[in-house]
Amino acid sequence: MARQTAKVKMKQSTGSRIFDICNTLFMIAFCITIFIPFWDVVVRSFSRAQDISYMHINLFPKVWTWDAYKYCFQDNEIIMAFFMSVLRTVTGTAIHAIVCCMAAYSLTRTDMPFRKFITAVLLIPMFFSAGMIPAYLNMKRLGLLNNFLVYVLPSGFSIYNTIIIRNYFFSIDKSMEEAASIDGASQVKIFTSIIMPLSKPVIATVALWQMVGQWNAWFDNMVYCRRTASLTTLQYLLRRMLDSLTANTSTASGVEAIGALVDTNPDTIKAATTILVVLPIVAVYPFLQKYFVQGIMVGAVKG
Amino acid sequence: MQIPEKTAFDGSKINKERKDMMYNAKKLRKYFPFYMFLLPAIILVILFCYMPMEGLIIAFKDYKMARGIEGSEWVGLKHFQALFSDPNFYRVLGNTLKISILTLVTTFPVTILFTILVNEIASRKFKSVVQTITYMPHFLSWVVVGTFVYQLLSPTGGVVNGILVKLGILEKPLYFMAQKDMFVPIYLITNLWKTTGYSIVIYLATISGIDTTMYDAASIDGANRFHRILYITLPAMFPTMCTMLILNIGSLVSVGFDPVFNLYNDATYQTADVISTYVYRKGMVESRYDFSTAIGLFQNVVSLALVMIANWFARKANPEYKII
Repeated sequence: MARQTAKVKMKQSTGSRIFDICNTLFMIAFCITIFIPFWDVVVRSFSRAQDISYMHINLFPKVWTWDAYKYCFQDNEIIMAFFMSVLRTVTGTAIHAIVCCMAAYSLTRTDMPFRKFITAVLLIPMFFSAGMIPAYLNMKRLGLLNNFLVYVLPSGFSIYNTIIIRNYFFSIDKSMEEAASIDGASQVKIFTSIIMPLSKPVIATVALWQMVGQWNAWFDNMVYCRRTASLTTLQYLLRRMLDSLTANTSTASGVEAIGALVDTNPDTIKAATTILVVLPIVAVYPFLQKYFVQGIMVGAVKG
Repeated sequence: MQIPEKTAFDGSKINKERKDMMYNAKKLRKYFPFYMFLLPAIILVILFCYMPMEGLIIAFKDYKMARGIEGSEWVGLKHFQALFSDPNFYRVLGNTLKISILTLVTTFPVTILFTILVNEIASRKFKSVVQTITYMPHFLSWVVVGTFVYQLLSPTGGVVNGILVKLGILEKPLYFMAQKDMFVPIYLITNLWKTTGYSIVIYLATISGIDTTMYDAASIDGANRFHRILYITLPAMFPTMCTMLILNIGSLVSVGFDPVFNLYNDATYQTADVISTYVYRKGMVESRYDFSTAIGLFQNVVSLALVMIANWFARKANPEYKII
């Protein structure tokens, strides 16, 4: 980078150096602020239940213990929920990627009849949606309540991602496609053996967004699949733990709230569950961050 | 099959028109695989975006589950009249506006300031570490963030209470999440914690487009660091700033459901309830489907109008800007 070398060569003023030091310290503080809640949960999850009290603030657990995790791994509900989350993430991402790529490929045909009309049909929902209740009644009518499909079908298509993929398709050299076409390849063949392999970066980006979205989804579980225990996802399980905590505020509201707060789920187990929810994302995040940033660039420049 | 509008009838040239039609039929056949490729997307959009819109008519009906959407009786604007004479609605609308305006006022300057500071980090490695760490919360769900906040502020084991009591600022632990005056500050801080890193990445993408020779030229002309920030970095960020600001104004009446729902509880409804959470409680919890559809419709129509206006302004301010 030209700028960096130029800076090194130039003699820095004292003010500039002081600014650098302050800035570095400030950035470290910023990172710590982001990091604190994560660390808090880690400490809780490894603590003994009786050690958690506002009177003790420790940087590390008093006694390290796996008890909370052992409890989680023996709890059928938590394990089932974990697998349900994995299942919806995998299925949902696959459907999303396939549907969006296919649509994006068609939308690259600029001279296709009705193209404008179809694009408009796909775009309008981005600006106007029916809202929560009509959506619920619609799911009911379609028989999707308490059905696994409600996790993966409504999110199967997104016009935003489709346009990002389409923009990438546009950048692929047309001549390759023409050559394949002359050699007698069908459109399906061209799509699967030329376009898709060449578009791995953008497909990876979109798939990752969708993976995170699916893993983090909980609202559809709460509204559409509340009554089916086997469809409970990890996020919703955590949400219910949060509910068990907030439910106590109704009795405690207004006046002294402290004594009334009796939690049905011990803090340590809740913390361990939180770790189970966060860990998959944190684990893959450093490797995939590149794609996320890349994706934003694609969106920012061309979206 | 519909005839594409391109073959608009031109009286004198019947032959050409027939040719056109044949050409179009051929074209449609040629494009058949592409229509098939679009089919799944179109089906999904119809099923999950257009079909629910039919349900909007229950905002004008007395919805009875047994009689269905069609069978229920029309009541005209009854629900809207009920809505506009409902004091709760004004409270909720007020909260929504207050929260979204305060969010805008806090996130905007903080993001710009932090972006500039991150950009001023000389070491590339440190810069990328800072970005990696601060970008992280963007990938957490609001359920997780809600859990974080409840635990940090918990009166029984929360770090914040522990510190405040030890320092003698509080005599005994305070249940922050049940204080109705505390909700908005807690919401704003949490929101900053979650979104700042992500916004920084977006703004940095704009800054990285700046020609670095401009900085060198400015230095030679005697500009110090502050001057360079003020006269090069900031102006380069300006178009993105405009777009973001305008888009934010477009979503003025739609505070997201997730953050509020995961941070509020019945002790803080007074200050925390926004339109989307009110719709949820009236509709999904109290089963007043028709009434809450009316609230939702009101919100969506106002949002749409605001987005349209904002979009128009964005295009005026930045000719290159377009949504798609």
